[in-house]
Amino acid sequence: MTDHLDASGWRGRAARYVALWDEREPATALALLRIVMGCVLAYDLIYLVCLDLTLTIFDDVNAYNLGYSSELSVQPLVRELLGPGPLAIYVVVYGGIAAALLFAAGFMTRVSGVLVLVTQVQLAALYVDGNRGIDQLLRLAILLLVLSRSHETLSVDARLRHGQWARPSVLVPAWPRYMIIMQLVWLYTSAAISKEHYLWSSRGDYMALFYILRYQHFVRWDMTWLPAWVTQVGAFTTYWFEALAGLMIVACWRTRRDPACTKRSTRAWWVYKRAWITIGVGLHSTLLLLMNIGIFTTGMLAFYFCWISPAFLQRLPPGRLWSALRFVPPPASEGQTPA
Amino acid sequence: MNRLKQHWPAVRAVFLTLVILHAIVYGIQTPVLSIQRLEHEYWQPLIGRVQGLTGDNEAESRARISRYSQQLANAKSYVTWPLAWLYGLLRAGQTWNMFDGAEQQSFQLYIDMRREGTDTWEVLYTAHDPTAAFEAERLEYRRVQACYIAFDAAAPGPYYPFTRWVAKRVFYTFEDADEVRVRMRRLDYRDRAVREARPERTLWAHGVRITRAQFERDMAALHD
Repeated sequence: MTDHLDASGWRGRAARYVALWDEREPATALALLRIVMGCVLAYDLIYLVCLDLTLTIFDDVNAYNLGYSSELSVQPLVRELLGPGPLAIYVVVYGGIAAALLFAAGFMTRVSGVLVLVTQVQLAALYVDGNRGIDQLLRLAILLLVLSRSHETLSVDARLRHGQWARPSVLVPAWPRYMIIMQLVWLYTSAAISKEHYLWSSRGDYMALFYILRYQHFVRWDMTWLPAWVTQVGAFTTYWFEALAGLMIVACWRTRRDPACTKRSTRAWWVYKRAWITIGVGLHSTLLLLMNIGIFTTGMLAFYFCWISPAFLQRLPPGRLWSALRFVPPPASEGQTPA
Repeated sequence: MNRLKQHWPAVRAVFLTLVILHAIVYGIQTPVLSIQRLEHEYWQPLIGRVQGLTGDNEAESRARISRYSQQLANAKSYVTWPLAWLYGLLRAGQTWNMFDGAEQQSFQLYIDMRREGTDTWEVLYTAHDPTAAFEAERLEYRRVQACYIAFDAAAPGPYYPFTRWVAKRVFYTFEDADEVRVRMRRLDYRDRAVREARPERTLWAHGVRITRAQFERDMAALHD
């Protein structure tokens, strides 16, 4: 973590900005992101295998299956290397499961992370229609985690190199976590910009969710009994939660500048930050309960581990239960933990 | 090399800032609007506003919007080329449309089967019907859902391969199945006045029927 820079003017601001991206923090938040995202991707493919859909989805359309990569002008790399048969599909699916599990376990983390990316990209190439937004989002996050030092704790690598599974006080560059925060904020901002349909606005009485919950194949149960006002509250909350995501950058900045919340405005931003995260977790948990939309909900909830700050890890209670996660700052940097 | 090491934090800060700005520009949607596309009624308000601002007639407005949209798309591709290759490599983008569409009309999948020597159809699968749950878990897996969940009037790209796969599952499971029918039931939640003014022609859409004879012929051809 970096010393506070008191210089004023643009040089001071620039120095503070550079220092922000040069900060160090405990590796725990990045490690948790790695574990959860690896598990989400592994679960998705294990479920596919358990349903015996591997060949159905990725094999050739001429055999009454769903994949049509054989008709693409540019063949996926795996088909170029292993030919058009099922071997290529099995290698990508089972290799993808192994890579995701190894990445979650933190074994040869960067190599397994790259293998996760390669297998996921090949799956997207073999079945283009299955390449949904959440798949793309997770790939972008995995790339950042590959570039990070998430393997420094809660990993097999940490055990092999340092003799400890958990090293909660080891410091690593914080910028990958900041980039994941930026990705999440942009995701919601972009989603709000895309919601140009009048049903997502007061012009359409925020009736969007009312109709979305009538897509019978999205919902876990028939939801036509749900009163319209409940869906209107949901749509209003969803839209403004997304539209105001950009303010999280301001909230983070203000609470960093005044970690003790001495100013009333900082206290307001502190509340905003916690309320926004709570609403986000609440919205995605509600979707998980109500809708059958694959790994979208679990993948999005995995992203919320990016909000685990060093201050939070420092406040964990002492004792065996939290010892693997609890951050004890080194004496020199004590009291300078970013908010 | 030493100078780079010394200035590395600043270089990294600049690079990461550029990556963030690039992602935002890359994610902003800049539709290329051809003159033909602008003839759709959706674009009429935009054309009207441009006419109000410029004094063009309708055709000139269309031409102007088309030209500017192309220029904007070109400018975006110039600005984003340094990292566009990475997104291409990852098959990812930065435009996120989460539930952006909220159509008042949707579809519900029905899979029916006709047994040999009969004229009646049995419903094998539809959503939320415990008596018609053939292959429900597979059909409701997200990658399979992508084949038939329709947000608008058109069927998704892999819908027809999907119907053939469904037929294969039915013929393998039921020895006396003679024909399989896959179709989408229209669900219309528009206001009554709109429904009466613009009624749908049919209750069912995207119907596909596959006979066992056709299926066996195709499978035999595959192994020839």
